Amino acid sequence: MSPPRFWTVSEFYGGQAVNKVFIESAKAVDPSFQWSPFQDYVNQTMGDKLGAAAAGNGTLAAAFDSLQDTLVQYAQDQGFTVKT
Amino acid sequence: MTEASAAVNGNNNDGTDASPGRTMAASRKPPLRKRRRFRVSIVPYLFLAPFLLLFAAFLVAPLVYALYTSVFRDTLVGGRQFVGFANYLRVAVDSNFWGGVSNLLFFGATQVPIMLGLALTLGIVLDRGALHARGLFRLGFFIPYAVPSVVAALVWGDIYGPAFGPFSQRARGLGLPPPDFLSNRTMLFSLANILTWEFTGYNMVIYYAALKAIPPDLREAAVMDGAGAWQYALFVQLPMLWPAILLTIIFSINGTLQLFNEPYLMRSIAPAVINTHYTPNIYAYFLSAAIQQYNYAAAVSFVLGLLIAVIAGAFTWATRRGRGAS
Repeated sequence: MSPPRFWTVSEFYGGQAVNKVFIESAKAVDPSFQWSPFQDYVNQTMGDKLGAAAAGNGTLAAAFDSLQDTLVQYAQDQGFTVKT
Repeated sequence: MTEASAAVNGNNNDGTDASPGRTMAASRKPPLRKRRRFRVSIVPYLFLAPFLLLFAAFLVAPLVYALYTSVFRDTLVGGRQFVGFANYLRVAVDSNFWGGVSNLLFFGATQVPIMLGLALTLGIVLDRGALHARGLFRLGFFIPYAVPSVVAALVWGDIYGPAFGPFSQRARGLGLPPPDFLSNRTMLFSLANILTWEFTGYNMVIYYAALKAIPPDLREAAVMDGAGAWQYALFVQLPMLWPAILLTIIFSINGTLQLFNEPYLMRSIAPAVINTHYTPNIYAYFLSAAIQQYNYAAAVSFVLGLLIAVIAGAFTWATRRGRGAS
């Protein structure tokens, strides 16, 4: 079905068959996922927080915690009622 | 045209020679004089009109609009409402904004003295005339300023690049670990290097022009009194240059706190380091362009403008006081 090159192992990606990995991870996505009403803000803040963790400022877990707090704060500022 | 000719007639009527309108002139005198004064005061503004119109349309009007915008708040639930100074109070405690400001204060405190010192040295060396091909050097030092800052930042980004940059490639060729110009720690210095490269020549030209304005008899007098080159530079040229130095410092404070182009372009190769609030201007840009918080972005911009005015003003005041005391 698929062209054979689709499954090639790539040296650039450390010897992984990337598309295989992508398919597996795509299957793991929860389809009941909902976009937030302010996805632009979510994306931007996520970039900042996870970027800081990637650059060596704090752990990834702390970055997600801080992201959650910031987003809840923002939602409340925007007039939403946040239920957790 | 008709008014102008009327004015000419009026002038003639004021004169002593008997002209046909003499009897009428007495009754027309006061309004005529008023009209003439009015014309005199409006002419300069007519000449300034092309500038004033553009100035009003593209500077004053946007400023007024931004000020108006900054006292509102637009939320997803609840819509637009008047909030007075609430946005400004939010800026006052916004760690993103003050983080950017502290980045730049550190940046300015290191980069500005280096750049101005270098410019001053180059200016004095050029002025001494001990160099061959002085014009060539003068042009060479100034050329980086003629390169648009976006182009310069792109080229420097290429040079700093971790995978493709010449330094990384040479290092890897020699089996050394490639230098990281774009990490959290080194980024400010890499940016400082770009800014120094760009603006040293510009400041040097300002100093050079000021040096050229020093009367040559001062050098003669200093040499007669036995001053060497160093003494002449330190005790004659430097004090005479003070107004120019003050000017360049004010320009540099202004430019540093408004830093945008260079860090913004570095973001594409170091997105983890240059976040969306790396400098206050980048913060205002992302607030307005990316997440549509126009009201808050306007407040951030005004606080930044105020901050620049305060720092530049405080600096001028402090140096004037210091000089007055000495």
